[in-house]
Amino acid sequence: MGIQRRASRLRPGLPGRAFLAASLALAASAAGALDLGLSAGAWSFSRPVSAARAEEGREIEPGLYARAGAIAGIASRLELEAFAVGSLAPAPGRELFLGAEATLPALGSREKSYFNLFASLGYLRALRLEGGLEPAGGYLSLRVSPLAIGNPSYGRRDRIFSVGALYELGSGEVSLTWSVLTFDFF
Amino acid sequence: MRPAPRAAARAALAIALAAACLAGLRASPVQRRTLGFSVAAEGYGEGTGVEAGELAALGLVLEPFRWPFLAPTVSAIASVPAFPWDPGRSLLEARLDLRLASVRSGAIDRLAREPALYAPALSASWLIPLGPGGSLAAAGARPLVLRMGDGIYSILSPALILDPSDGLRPLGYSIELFEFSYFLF
Repeated sequence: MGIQRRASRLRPGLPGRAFLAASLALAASAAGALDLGLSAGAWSFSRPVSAARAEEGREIEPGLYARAGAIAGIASRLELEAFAVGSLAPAPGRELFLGAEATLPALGSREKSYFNLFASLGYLRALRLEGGLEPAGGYLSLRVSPLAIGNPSYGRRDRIFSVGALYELGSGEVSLTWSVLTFDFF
Repeated sequence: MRPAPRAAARAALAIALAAACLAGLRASPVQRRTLGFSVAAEGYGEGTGVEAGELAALGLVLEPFRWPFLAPTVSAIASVPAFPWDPGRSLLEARLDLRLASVRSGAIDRLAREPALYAPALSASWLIPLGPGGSLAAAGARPLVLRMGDGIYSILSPALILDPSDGLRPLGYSIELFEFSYFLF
């Protein structure tokens, strides 16, 4: 009798059961929709030397940059991406940016549409390699990829001619970014 | 292993590799044309005398032979500093690539999503800056090259920049983020 009483105390009530059921359904749905991928591509800064940052000795160096990231598609209309942008020349890795983006497809489901247009909102954190990695400013990023060919179901996707705006937190400067091509592998 | 069997093993390996290259090319429906163009993005390291920045390159490509390996490709390339924009510091380049192999495998086809050849190459270049500074030479490797249809796609190709006026003294490095070549004729 005592054991039954204790067990009934441990059983969740109606709101608890509803919450548990909703969580399980959401987790199952997310697990079904979740697809993972890797990305690699080019990256250019339109104004590599920002006046505000140069005064503080924290300018972004002009150079050749590349971008690599990991993608998680969490719904048919939403994917998240964590990425790094690093300089390859004139000194490899001296400039490093870590960022995260939420991306929305505008022309249809990201899994099914072979051609799509993406809009991405994100945050970039600049790091500078000087003895160690030192934080060097943060940026809000808005990017548009006007042509994406492929999808996760196909296993490959190319994002072409992506352009973006960076808003530097603190100085309020706006600059542009440009990526000729980003390859995504799912 | 004694020297003679080791030499025989090496010879067998070389023959097997050559056969794989030949079989790969013969079985592949890749490039049938000779003349095309290329687009690329590249940068130069410190000490090379080339100003830091991203250079956008446009070139003409000629590949007269269909050999599966040691096939030469000749390019004439103009590279313009794009970020920051500074056409006065452009570079003219003459480049010779020597294809080392042509390997076809299911894994490469699956990665490319179409019939493709893995075709790494070595390269040698002569560079003439339009801005200040003398001519430069470069010796490079193109380790990540795929050939698909009438295109050649290479990424992350490094080169050592040399000073021809000083006994080919190494000055620094350059790296090509990507180069896409398309054969039209």
